[in-house]
Amino acid sequence: MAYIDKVLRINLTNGRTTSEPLNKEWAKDYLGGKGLSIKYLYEELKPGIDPLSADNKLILMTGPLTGTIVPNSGKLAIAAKSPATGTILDCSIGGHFAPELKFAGYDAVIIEGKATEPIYLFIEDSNVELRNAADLWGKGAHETEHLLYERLGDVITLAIGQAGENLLPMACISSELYRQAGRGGIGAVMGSKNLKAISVRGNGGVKIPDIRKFSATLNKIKREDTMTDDNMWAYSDGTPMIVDLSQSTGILPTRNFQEGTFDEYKNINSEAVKSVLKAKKACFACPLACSNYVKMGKTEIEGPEYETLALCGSNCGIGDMEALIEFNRLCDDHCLDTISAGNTVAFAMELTEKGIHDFGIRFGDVENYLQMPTLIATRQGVGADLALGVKKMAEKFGGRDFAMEVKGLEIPGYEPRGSWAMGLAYGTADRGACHLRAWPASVEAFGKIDPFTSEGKAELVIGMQDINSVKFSAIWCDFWAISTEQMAEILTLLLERDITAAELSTIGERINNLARLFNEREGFDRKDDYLPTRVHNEKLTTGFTAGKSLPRENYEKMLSEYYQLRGWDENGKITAEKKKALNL
Amino acid sequence: MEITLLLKGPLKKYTDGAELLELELDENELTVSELLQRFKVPTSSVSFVQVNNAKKDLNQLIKGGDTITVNPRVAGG
Ligand code: SF4
Repeated sequence: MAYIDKVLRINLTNGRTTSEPLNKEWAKDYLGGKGLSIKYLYEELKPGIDPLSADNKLILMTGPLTGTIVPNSGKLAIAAKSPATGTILDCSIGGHFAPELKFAGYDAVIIEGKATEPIYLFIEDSNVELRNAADLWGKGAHETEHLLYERLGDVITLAIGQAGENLLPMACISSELYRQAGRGGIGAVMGSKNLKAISVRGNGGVKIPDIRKFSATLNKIKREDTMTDDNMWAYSDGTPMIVDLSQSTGILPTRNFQEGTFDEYKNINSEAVKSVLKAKKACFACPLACSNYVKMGKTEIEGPEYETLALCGSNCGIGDMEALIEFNRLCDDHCLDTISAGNTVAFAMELTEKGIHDFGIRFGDVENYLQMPTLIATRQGVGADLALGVKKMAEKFGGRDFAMEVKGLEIPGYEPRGSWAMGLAYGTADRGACHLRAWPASVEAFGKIDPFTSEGKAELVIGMQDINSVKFSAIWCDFWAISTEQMAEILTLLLERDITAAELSTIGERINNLARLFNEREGFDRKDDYLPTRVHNEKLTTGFTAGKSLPRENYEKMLSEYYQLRGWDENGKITAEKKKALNL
Repeated sequence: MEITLLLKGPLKKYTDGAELLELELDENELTVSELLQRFKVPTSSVSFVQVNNAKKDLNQLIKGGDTITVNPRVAGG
C-alpha cells in the first residue's frame, strides 16, 4: 500500500520502455523521493561519468504520501548527477505532477540514454510514447507547456527552456509555469538527453488501507497541527516575509554579499508583494497555499519568492519591484534557477565595479539587468560568460575571494556571517550551497539561538539535515513544521507497519550518509566543504551584523565537530563502522 | 505611555486581524513579554521581536514612543 509498486524505465537511446517492480527493500530503507532516487543512482551510475552524457540518468520519484490527502504531500523529487557540481543532485518540485504520475500508475520514472533528436515524453497510464519535439525546441517553458496542453488536453507537464537546451549549470525544470526543480543544473540533464518535456495524465488513484481512520486522523492533524501559527505565515505572507526578517537580523545578501542589509528593502518586502497580489495558489493537497500570484505592469507571475527577492533583488542592488518581477518571469520562462542567476549577475556586477573585468553591468543598473536572463540562457554576448556560473567565471576572470559558491553551487539568501550554522549547512549540504538541506537561520538568526558562536551548531545542522531528508523522501513540503512523531503516526497508517520516530531519524541519517558516499566516490572530501573566503576575511559593516565575520577557525571547528558527530573521519570520509551501522 | 505594536503574518489574529496598533498604556515600564501576555500571544509562536527595528530579547523594557515588531516562527525556506 501507499506504493504503486511500479517503476517506468525509459531508454532514450533505443526508445525502449519497460516497467519493473519498485525495489521494496530499498523503499523500506529510503522511503521514496530524495532517499530512494539517490539509492537508485548510487547503485546504477558508474563513478566518474559525465553528467551531461548518455550515461547519466534522470529519476522522477514520488513517495509513499504522494497522491493522498496528507497535507503538503504534492511534491516530486527529480534526481541525477549534477552538471553544476559533480555531486549527487536531488531537487523538489511542487504543483501537481507527482500525484498525476502516481494516478498514471507509477512510483517513479527512470530515464536513461540520449535521444538522437528533440523529443517529448507523453505518459497516459500504461500508454507511454516518445514524440518528436522539433517544433518545441528553442521555445521557452511557458510556451512549451501551453502548446502541449493544446495538443494533449488535460496534462501536467515538466518542461525545460532555452537554458536546459543550452546545457547551463543553472538550468532548472519548470512545471505549471511557475514551479521549478531549481538547482544544480537538473534542466541541463534533461537538455543533454534531447528531452524537451514530459507530460502525464493519470486516470487511476492510490489505495489507502483504512480510509475512515486515515481521513479522521488527517483531518484532526490538519486542524490542530498544520493550520497553526507555526505554519500559517506561509499563507498570510509566504516567503517574501523573510525579507524583513533578514534585513532586521543583518543577513539579507546585498551587492554580492558585500553587506547584510539593503537600504531599499521596503521596495522588495512582503508588503510590496502584497500590494500587487492577485491570488494565492497551492500545490496538490496543500492547505497552506504559500504561493503569491502577482500582477504588476504587464507582467504576471507566481512569485517572487524570498530567494528571488534576495538574490535577484538586494544582491544585485535592485530595489525596483517591477523590474524584479520581470526578471523573475524571464528566468522562469527560460528556466534559469533564480538563486544561481541572481548570484551570477551580482558577481559580474562586482567584477565590473572593481575593474577586474567589464561585463557592462553595475549594481542597480535595471536596464542591463533585464537583458541578462535571455543573454545567459541563450549564451549570447556577455551571457556566454555568465552562463558558466560563479565558480567557473572566477576561474576565468578572477575574484575567487568573493565568488559566492560552495562546490560550484551559488549561495542562497542567508548571509552566513550572521548565521554561523547556516554556513555549516552550506558547507556540508550534499548538493553544494543549499538552504533546504538544513535551514538553521530559522532558529538562529530568526530565533533564540546565538548566531555568532560555533557551540552546538554541528548537532543543530545534523538534526535538521536528517529530518529534512525524511520530509523530502516521504514526500512532505518543508513548509510544514511537522514533528518526527507525527510523521511516524501518518506513515504507520499508510504503510501498515509500525514506524517510530527513531526509525525515521535513522532513515534520515542513512540518506545523508548515502549522499555523502556518492560524493565520496566522486572524489569529494573535506577540501570541498569550504565557504567563500569573503565570509571568513571580510567583516560586514551595517545593521545587526556590523563588525561580524565567520572566522575560518570557528568554521573549521564546527566542521570537525560535525564530522565527529556524524561518525566520519577528520577528512570527512564515512568510517567503516558507520557504513555497517546504517546498512550502506 | 504610547507605543506602537506591529504583529506580523499570522500573529495578527491575536489582535482581531489588526497588524498595527497604536496603544496607550497606563504603565511607564513594561517588558516585551508582559506586553505579549496582554494579547495572549504565545511566546512559542514568536521567532524574535524588534524594538525600534533592532532585534531584542523578550525581557527588553519598553519605553514610551517605542515600536515593537513581533515576528512569527517560520519553517521551511
Ligand atoms: S506550502 Fe507552498 S510549496 Fe509547500 S506544498 Fe504548499 S503551496 Fe506547495
